[in-house]
Amino acid sequence: MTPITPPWRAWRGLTISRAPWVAALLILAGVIALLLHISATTMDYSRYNPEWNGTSRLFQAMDDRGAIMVDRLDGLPGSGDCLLFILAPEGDFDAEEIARLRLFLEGGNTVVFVSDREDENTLLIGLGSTIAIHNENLSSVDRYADHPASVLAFPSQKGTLGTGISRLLLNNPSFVEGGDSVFETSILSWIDKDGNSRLTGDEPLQKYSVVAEERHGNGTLYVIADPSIFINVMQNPGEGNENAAFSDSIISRKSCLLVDQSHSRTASGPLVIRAINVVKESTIHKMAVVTLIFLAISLLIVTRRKNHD
Amino acid sequence: MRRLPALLASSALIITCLVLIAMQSGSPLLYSPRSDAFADDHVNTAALPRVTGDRSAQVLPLIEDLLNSPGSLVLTIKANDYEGVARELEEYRQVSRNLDRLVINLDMTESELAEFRKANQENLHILTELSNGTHRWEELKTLEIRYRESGDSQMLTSITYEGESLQRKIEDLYRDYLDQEDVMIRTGEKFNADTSTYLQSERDFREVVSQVETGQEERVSAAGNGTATGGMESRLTIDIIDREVSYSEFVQVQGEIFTSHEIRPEEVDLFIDSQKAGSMHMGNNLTLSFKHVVEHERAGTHTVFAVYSGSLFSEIRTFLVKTDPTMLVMEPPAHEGGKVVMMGTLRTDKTPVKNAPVVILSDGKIVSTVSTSQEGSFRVAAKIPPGDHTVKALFEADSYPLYPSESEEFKIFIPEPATPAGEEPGILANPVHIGILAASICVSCVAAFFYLRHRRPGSIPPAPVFHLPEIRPSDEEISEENLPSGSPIEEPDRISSDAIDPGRIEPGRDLTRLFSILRLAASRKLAFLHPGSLTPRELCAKCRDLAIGNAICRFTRGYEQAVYGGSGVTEENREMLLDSYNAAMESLEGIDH
Repeated sequence: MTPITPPWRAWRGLTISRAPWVAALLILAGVIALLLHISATTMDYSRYNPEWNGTSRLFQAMDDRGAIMVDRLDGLPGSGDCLLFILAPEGDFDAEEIARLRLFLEGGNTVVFVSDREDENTLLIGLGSTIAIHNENLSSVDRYADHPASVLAFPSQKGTLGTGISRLLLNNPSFVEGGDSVFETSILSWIDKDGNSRLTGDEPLQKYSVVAEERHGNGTLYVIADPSIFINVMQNPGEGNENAAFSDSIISRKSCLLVDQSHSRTASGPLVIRAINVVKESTIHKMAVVTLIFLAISLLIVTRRKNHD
Repeated sequence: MRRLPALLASSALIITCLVLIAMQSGSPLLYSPRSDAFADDHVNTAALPRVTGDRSAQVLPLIEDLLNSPGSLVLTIKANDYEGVARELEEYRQVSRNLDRLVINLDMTESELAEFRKANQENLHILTELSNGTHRWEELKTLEIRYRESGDSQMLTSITYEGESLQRKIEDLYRDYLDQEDVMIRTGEKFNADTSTYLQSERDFREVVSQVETGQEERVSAAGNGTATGGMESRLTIDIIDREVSYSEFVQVQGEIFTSHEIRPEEVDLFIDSQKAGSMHMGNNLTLSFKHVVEHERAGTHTVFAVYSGSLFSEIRTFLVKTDPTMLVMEPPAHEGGKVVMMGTLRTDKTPVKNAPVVILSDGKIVSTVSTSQEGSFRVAAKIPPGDHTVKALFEADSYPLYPSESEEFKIFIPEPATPAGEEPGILANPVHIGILAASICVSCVAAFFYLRHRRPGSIPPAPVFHLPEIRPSDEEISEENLPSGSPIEEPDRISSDAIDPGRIEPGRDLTRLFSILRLAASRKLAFLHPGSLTPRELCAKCRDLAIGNAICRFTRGYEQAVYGGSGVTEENREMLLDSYNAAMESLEGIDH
């Protein structure tokens, strides 16, 4: 007859000597949770932000296309066939950077400048552009969500940027004047001067350009008056959402894609994740970290052996 | 003694948790994407409800339709196709209603699109009136032929007078139609609509007016001077004292009548715009007089003539109604009984406007309509949803010779309705919640009671009994072994070691009984807690460092091998078991001495 061990006696096999392992597992879980917590961010436009207001999805797509992140504008080539993507810039561009950008542009390259701030008009003037950004409360009857900031824009000419895109979903956009309009709002749009989210008598209806282009020498400048087009929630491919296709048309426009990280809010993020990113993007740094890990493990093993002996 | 504070603390903790859970279940605070939907630069559209996107695609065709419809309609009127006119008017009304709905749905009641809508409504009214007027004009032409053939000069005169009135009305309609051009064309051009059809409709309208004017001239010529009928000896004349009047002023008509009859007429019928407005009475000075208050007449020219006994006609006179500005004054709204009370007055420069409709708008949407009193005042209590709103009053009535006006705007805040005392919505407000809470507390208490009861030492269920092979204890022994027998601490007192003589224990007796006796004896002597729960290995471990440890551990090892290991009781281990048992019991008795 096979002896039976009652199930309630099974736990008796667990001794106090296993407690440190349990504690170690709990500490490991805690450390992982802590790392996850400090390596995530909810900063607007941050490429490290996987939430609705980040740009992680766009940057993943750009990484897949082999985009080069540019930390210094003074390293831009003077001529070539590259596309420089400046998304959600902040801070001032100094005269040297503006001169370099102008040289880059007139040398036959393309610059896609995405901002909804009037401060950036200084840069546009410096580039010799007639396009100006107006940061006004642009609203429209043609919207995709029940909010006046969710404005729709439609192609206004046969431009090559966003070819085949029937409409863009904007999110609290500004508008541009000057240049050739590429996308514009419908006629049922207005500037909500009084901020009441309604169309009132002194707010005339008219079309507003939100994407404009301009030739500069051999190059082309595109100004998009709404960086929110590129945040994660606006890049969700869904019914009637062609923003992701619009992004694709920009980042696949040239074989050489440069992404500005010197003035862009997309580069903002917590220190830990930035450090991880520095390691990821540099082979030398990767080698250094792997060497350090191996050294640490070796040291640990040697120390234990000595103690054991 | 130490268990009581722990029990109390645990109970308090459990009750606190239950109360907190119950409170949360009453008004749960749950995360939703909507609570995190707004950032400085954008909104989380995924958390917002979707709407129909390209709504301009609905508006632009409507505007084109509304610019084209009058052109087609005027052409059909000009062609005297009245069935076609009725059909086209109905279609025009339908398209206009669509625009009305769209303007309201899109919340564009104060936009230039709303101006277009208003001009279109005016056009619809004008063309409806034109349709009626031209239809009547055609009927008059048929009647004229009939009466001319029958030689009925009185009816011919009547038709001439009505024709005169119709002509003036159609001329006024044409002027009104031209007044809408600015808004209609401007909006059409803005929306890139083709406005040529609308401009053509104005030319066609002009042709209709010309046809009516020509026809009326011919009719007047055919009827002679037309101002006096009934023979040379009878004559009726009228005159208007003030030919330009405004709202609430009198149109004063005076007249004289000369007849060959000796009977002096007391009353003469007076017609304004071919509609009987009243009777003129003969005064002491042998003149006829009539006063008509201007209230609902449209601005523009109106015709007047008088008829005595259906056969004697006066000449046609005209008077002009001017449009006056109005002032709509509203007092700051007040809260009263859960509603917003708004009051004010509507008046012209000279007089209050009586029985006129005043519309109350909240954020551009109509919330109430009220009529002014005889003093031009109004008061309305409207229910407006909680939140910030902008309210104003608006007067806009086409049937008055008055310009529209609106009051000052007031920003108001409507608080959430206060809950009366004693009805505060909470966990205890709902009987169902109270029931759930009470039931959960009761269940918890009952469960706790049974748990504690079973945890009492005397209530610990007996451990399973493993019997030696081939030896089945008697029922008496089984019952003695299985049934709980009070506190384990008291058990050694009840089962005295003196009652069992180890020397008389025969091989084959139940080892479990020996182990129980040994365990109880050891527990009593060494003051072990919960002796009934000690396993052989635990008993051994507890006694290992004592003098009796060796004997007890030898017994428990043999016991485990025989009972748990299934090796059975052989001659050798029986001896060993009895020896170790006896040695252990003797040592335990030695502790007492």
